[in-house]
This record gives sequence, structure tokens and C-alpha cells, in this order.
Amino acid sequence: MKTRTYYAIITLVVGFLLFIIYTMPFIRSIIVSFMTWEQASKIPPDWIPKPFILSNYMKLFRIEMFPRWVINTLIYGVAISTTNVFLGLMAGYSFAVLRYPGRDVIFNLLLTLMMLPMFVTMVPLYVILRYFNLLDNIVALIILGMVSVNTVFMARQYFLSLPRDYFEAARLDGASYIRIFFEIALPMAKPLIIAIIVYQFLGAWNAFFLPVIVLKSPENFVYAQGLNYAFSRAWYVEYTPIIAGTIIGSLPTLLFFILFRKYLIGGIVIRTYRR
Amino acid sequence: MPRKNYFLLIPSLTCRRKLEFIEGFLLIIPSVLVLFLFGYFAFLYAFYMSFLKWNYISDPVLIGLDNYIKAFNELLRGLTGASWYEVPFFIGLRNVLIYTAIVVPIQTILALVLAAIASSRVKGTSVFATAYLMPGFTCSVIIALIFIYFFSQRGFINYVMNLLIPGFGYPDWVNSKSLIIPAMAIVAIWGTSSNFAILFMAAMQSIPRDVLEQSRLDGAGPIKRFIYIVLPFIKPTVVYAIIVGTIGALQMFDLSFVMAGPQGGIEYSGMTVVLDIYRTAFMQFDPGYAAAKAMIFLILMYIPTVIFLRKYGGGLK
Amino acid sequence: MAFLKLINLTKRYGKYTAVNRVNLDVNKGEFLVILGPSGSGKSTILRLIAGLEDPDEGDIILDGVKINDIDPKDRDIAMVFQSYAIYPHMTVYQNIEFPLKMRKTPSEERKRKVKEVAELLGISHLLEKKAWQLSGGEQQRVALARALVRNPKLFLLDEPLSNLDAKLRVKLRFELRKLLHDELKITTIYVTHDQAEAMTMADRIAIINEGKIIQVDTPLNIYNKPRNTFIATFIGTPPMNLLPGTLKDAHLLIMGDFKLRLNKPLDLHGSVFIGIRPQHFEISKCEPGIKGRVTSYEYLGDDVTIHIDITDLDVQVLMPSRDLRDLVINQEIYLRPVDKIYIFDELSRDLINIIEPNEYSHNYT
Repeated sequence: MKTRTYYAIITLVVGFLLFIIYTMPFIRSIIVSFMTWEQASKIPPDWIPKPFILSNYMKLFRIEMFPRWVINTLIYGVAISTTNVFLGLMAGYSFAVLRYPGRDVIFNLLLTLMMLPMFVTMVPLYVILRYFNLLDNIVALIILGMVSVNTVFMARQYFLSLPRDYFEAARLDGASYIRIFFEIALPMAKPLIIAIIVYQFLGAWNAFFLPVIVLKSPENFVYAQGLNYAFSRAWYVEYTPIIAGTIIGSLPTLLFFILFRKYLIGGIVIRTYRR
Repeated sequence: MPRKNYFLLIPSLTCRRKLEFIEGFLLIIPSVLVLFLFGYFAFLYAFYMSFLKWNYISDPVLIGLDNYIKAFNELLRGLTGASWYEVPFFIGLRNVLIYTAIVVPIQTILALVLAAIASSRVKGTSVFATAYLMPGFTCSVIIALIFIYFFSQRGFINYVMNLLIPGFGYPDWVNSKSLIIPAMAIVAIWGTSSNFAILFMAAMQSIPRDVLEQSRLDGAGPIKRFIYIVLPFIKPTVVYAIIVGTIGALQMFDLSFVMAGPQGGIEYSGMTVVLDIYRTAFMQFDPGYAAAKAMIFLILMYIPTVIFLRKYGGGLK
Repeated sequence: MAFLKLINLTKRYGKYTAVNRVNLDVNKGEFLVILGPSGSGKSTILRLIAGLEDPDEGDIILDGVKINDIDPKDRDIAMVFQSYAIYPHMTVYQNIEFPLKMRKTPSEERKRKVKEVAELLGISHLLEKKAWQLSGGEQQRVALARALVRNPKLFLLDEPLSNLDAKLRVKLRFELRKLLHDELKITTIYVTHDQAEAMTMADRIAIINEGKIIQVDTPLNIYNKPRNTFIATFIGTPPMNLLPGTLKDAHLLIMGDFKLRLNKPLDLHGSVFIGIRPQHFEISKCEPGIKGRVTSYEYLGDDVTIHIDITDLDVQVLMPSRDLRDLVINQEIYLRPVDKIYIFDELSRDLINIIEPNEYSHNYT
């Protein structure tokens, strides 16, 4: 019993230290976002904004392009969530439930695609988009992100886990597979749809690599990209508005956490990290 | 629902099977086409491009292996001490290897510790779990921007460092030749250990409780339990984390783009391979050379990975 | 003084009390079985003794020492789980040596002890095999070996036979008792819900239900003198029949119909429950007897259980198959008790009296 409490104390102490390390950047950023740059650069650091200002946030919105970045990213997010749901579900269902020659071969080829890094495909994709005059257009991003291998994989896993009886009963009743998809598989796929939407939307909000390649005019940037651009222009002048921008950029993540905390700890929803 | 189908020509398939065939394909065609186009086709195109000299506008010229030779030359000259501006590819490669060597071990071990604490039965640790997992879902660019502030001359990191190591000074990490890579490493470790912690937590939860309790009865303290029971059980997950972590670290781009800038920082101190490829393709308008470098790096990246898998893998599903 | 004493042991989970003021004495070298239905708290008691859980109230005293606050590994108690909890990624040898390794026993001594124990359990040929490759019976032996290798003072087993097929179970019952009780003479506490196991293996049985110990006694005593209807119907296959009845002066009225004359009038009156074992009935085609209708048979080889419906109550009678003669389904027959009759209080269900066969006779009125 003695050793047990000894270890418990160590665990709590180390755990708490790590807890501080992992929350501190967020906490300090929130605090600093309400401070003046002068106060934010003080050593030793201040922890209470004096004066408490909102101008950091206001300055952000005053950059003409800032609202556009938010809107661009929202459009991007909504668009690829929708397309991923449709395309991903169709493909996942087909791979999981139907049987036809070449099915597994094609699926394995898709899986292998996961191993293809983006730095190889970025130049050709740029060239292709250029050819179709789609550069600097958010539509290009949407097309590129229309469906992802991850989505197809998740969908297939999900449909594999459903009892086959439903599908087979409908088949015996004479429905076509596509009909079964719309009338049986889709309604049963609510958790999957939510997972896909969340994953894709978060991905869109956090996107940087592809937008940097595809989007060129600052007003077309997505959020992370735009914020970085604002940073590179405001360098050495005043950083606190950028911090305010990072807080806004972290909001979707926070929301995600508040909504899905239970599932997270249970390890259920996030199959993205399970292969 | 009778449907016209032309597969009657294939005698081996029954009517029903042919229907399944068509419908099955119909459902996957859009996704597969898109993915194969942006995946395999782009890959082949990149391969083709690596043999070209091109600037996007005029006609491409086939120059055979010249791009590759140029790349290897750069690497060679970098090894034999050429000045920094001549060998960005080499510096990028060197930097990213150092970076990976720092990041992967530390983030894996840290993730294990985080997972162990978050899954422990000590009361109160489940509160910690939420905090540990947050950075994993936040955008890396956002995290980088936050940390740039922390790494500034009068930033929090310098404050803490001077508390721990008196006389550390107040350098500007991001603009320092020697400190930029450690800075990027710290940011990466902070962010990605979070991701792997989730993975390890899930793996740890699948260990049967009986086995752990039995080891308690057999006299294993928490540390021994971890070494003899938990680790062997989650070994496949750890291997997976190391491999994925390595591949991810080698491809690092956004941290260097944001923290060091598209030019790779002072004397290329923050350059990485992918940043260099980006630079070559989009700032020097030389897609051929960029594609060649990409191909070379692709091979360089996967050979050790495959070897590692052969040695430690096994049961990786 | 008893070797293991549980004093007022209590464990609660929120509002639910799993173990309720349990008092139990276990003697040195004894093979005690804790018997109870699922969820009765028997596994919890075991875990409390082992130290895997902490009691909310009460004390556990082993060999004169209070062990409540001692770490499980220092209690010198070994436990075998229902699932055996073998370390799958280690070899059998490594599994067995693990407790010794944790105690930092020198490797020469470890080797010797592991070989000894493996020999004892007949698994020496499996030592180099990986644990996940073994069959259920082999895994169980490895679990036993691992538990025995450190010579524990107390041996705990949590339903170790429930994962095995019936034949193996019967064989191992005998072997386990022989090994632990006869050969090694280790004090053992064995938990099960199978009353046949308890009856055949135990020196004494502790019957537990809803967190409370109801009766602790030898199997024979429990069988012959069950303390209440729960135990009476739990022990014995087929279960004892419970019939409503009334006591009045020197007569016992069963099922409102059949009267028995008591040789010695009892000092009790009123409604009671009457318990008669299936083996203690006689079936006849004519009176006197309790009227009933045959509904079904269950052949068990030499014996047969006959189900009889008496005004919607299912009464079971056990008799040798050769006495069956020409009884058919739906036939009307009469039942007569011919051995012990147990009288239970109507409200408390406790045993009030046992009427021996020579203390009553059948009444012809």
C-alpha cells in the first residue's frame, strides 16, 4: 500500500507537469490576445492583461482580407465535407458489401496510395491545374480534396462492421444494390457521416500545404495560410494580433473537443489513427 | 427490375453477378478515378517531369538524367564543404535528418508517457487526458505561429530557459542559425506526441485487465509492469508510430515554411527537403529539377523504412 | 486461531453493497469453497483478500497479521483468475518464473523452482512454448504453476474450471483438490457458482448470496441441514421441491390436500413451506398421496427425473429408471413423501424443523 501511494504521487506530479506543458501555450495565447504588445513582451511575463484590450481582434478584422479567409475556409470545409460524404460512402459501401472481380485489387491500390507523399504529387498537380486555368481558385482545392483515401477507408471499415443481414434481406426482396445503398446503408451510416464531416471539416480548417501551392492571391487564401501571410507582413511590429488570430484558428478544434470528448477518450470515433 | 446489360457476352457471370459488377463499379468509379488521377497519374507525370528542363511556359526539353546528376552533385559538394548557397538540397537533407533524429524518439517516448499517465488508475489523471490530446487536433501552422511568439527574444521560452540554466541569454530562436532546428523540433514534438498518445492510449486499453492484475499479484510494480507487460503488448503500435512518425518528420514542410520562411531561413538553416523542392518548383520555376529531387527523396525515405519494417514489423494491422 | 480471518468485511460500489459485513474463518490447510450465484459478491471477496481492491470496512487477518494495508505482492497470496491471465507473449518458462523474477530471486534458484513446479504439474514438455499457443487445460496448468512457484501461504482460485468442457472439468476437480489439499497441503479458497464442484471438492462450503455469507459448514451438513430455502434449493440436483403447507396440532397439511399424521406434535402452527427432495418421493397410481399429473421426463441414464404438475407447481421426482414401469405423460398419479421433510418459515424462509421419516405416517382419512 505504501508503494502504491508513492507511485500515485509521482504519477500525479509528472502528469500535472505535463498537463501544464500541454495547456500552457493555449492559455498564455488566450491571455496575451487581450494584451498590448508592450505588455506581452515583458520579462518576467505578466499574466493579467492590464489594460484588457480587444483591439488585437479588431485589428484582425480590419485587415480587409481576414473575413475573406474565414469565409474561404468555411466554403472549402463545407464543400469537401459534402463531397467526401457522398463519394466516400458510395465507395466504402461498394468495397465492403458488394462483390465483383477486381474489388480487392483496386482497394489495395487505393491503400498503397496512402503511402504516396504529397511532395511528389504537388508539382504535377500544380501543372494540371495550371493547364485548366484553375490556379488561385478555391474550386481547385475542392476538386483536389473531393474525396480522400482516408474517407473511403473509414467508410469501408464502417460498412464491414454492420450486420450483413440487412443488406441480404433487402437483396432477397429484389432491390438493386444502389437502391439498397440509398434506402438502407445511408440511413444506418449516421455515425460514419458525422465522423467524415468532422474529420474533413477540421482538415479543411487546418489546411496549409495544398493551399500554399494552389492559391496565390492573398484574398483567396484559406485561414492558416492567410494568418501566416499576415504574420510575415507584420514581422517585428506587433505580434499580438497574430496571437488573436491563432485563438480564432483554434476554435474549431476546441469545439470538436467539447462535443466529442467522451468518444475521444473511449477511443471510438477517431479511427483516423487506427489502420 | 430488369436492366439491359451487355455482359451477357461473358458466359461465366450470371445475370445477377453482372448487375453487382456494374453497380459496384458505378459506386466506386468517381472516387477511384479522382484518387488515381491525383495519385498514380500525378506520380507518373512527376516521374516524366524529372527528365525535363522546363519553366512552365516554353516547351519542355528532354534532358535525360541531367536533373538527377545535378542533384547528386549538389549532395556531393555539400558533403565536401561547399558554401551554403550552392547546396540547398544537401542542407535541406542534412537538416531534416537531424530534425527527424531528434523528433521521432522523443515524441514516441513522450507519447508513451502521456498515454501511460492518461490511462492510469490514479484518480484525477483522466482530467489530464483532455489537455494532452488537444494539440494533436490543432493546425500545425497555428501551433507554429503561437510558438514563434514564445521563441521570440522576450518570449516565454527564454524566460523559462534562464530560470533553468542561468546565463542562457535571450536569443531570437527563429532567427538564429543554430537554434531554429531545435525550435522546430520542440514544436513538432509538442504537437505530434499528442497524436500518438491517442494511438497508444487505445492500444493500452485493449490489454486484458486480468493480465495486468495478475502481474500486480506476481509482484511487478508499476514500472516493471510497464516494461514486461504493457510494452510487449503494444509493440506493433509502437513500431507503427515510429514508422509513421519518421515518414512524417522527413516530410516536414509547414513548420519550416512558417518559422524559417519560404527561403529556408538564414543561410538555409531552416531548410528542409520538401521546402527545397517547393522552392525549386515555385520560386525558381524549375519543375524538372524539383521532380527529380522529389523522386530521389522518395527512394531515400522508403528504403530505410522498409528495412526497419522487415526487422521489427510483423503483425502490423 | 484460524489461519485467515475476515472480520466484518464490507465493500461498496456507490450505493450498491457488494460484500456486506462478511465474517469468515478459514483453517490452515483447509480447502474452502465459496459458493454462490453470479453477482453474489464471491469474486469481490477474493479480490479483497488478494489486495486488488480495498475494503470500505473490516479487516483481513492472515496468519495473525492484519494485511489490509499490505501491497498485494507482499501478502504472500497467490491467485488464479478465471481467464488464467497468462502472459501471452512470454514462453511458459518465462510465465512461471515471472513472480520469482519480480522478487529478484537468483537465476539458479529460479531455474530449479520452475523445473520443480513444471514437473509437479506435468507441463515440463511445454516450457519453451509461447503461452498463446496453449490449449485451455494447458494454460490452466501454467497459471497454477506460476501461482505455486512462490510457495504462497494462501491460494485463491476464481472459477478456474468454468472455461473448460464438462469432461475436463470433472477430471480436473479431482486433480486440483488432490494437488492443493492432499499433496501440497496449501490453504485454499475456491470460488464457484457450480454446486456440484463445491460439494465434491470442499472441506467446508461458505454459501454467499447478495453479499452475505449465509451458511458455512461441511458439504454433507449443508446438504442435510440447509439453513434456509435458498440454500435448500441451491444445493442438490435436481433441486429440492418447495410446497406450501400448514401445520396444525399433530397434522401436517401439504398443498391443502394431503394430510400427514405426526407422531410427535410440533409446537408450531400456521403456514409453512415444506421442502422434500426429489429422491424422497414415492409415486403411486392410487391414494394416499398428493394428486398430480405427469408432464415430462428427463432421462439421465440410470436415473430419471419426472416432472409432475400439481396445481401449476412443477414438482420434480428422481427415481431409478427401472422403477419407471408404465407411467405416461398426462397420467394422474399420487405422490407420497418417504424420507426427510424440511419445514421452513413462511416469511423468513429459515429452516425451522426437520421431520425424520420415522416421525410421521400417512393418513388415510
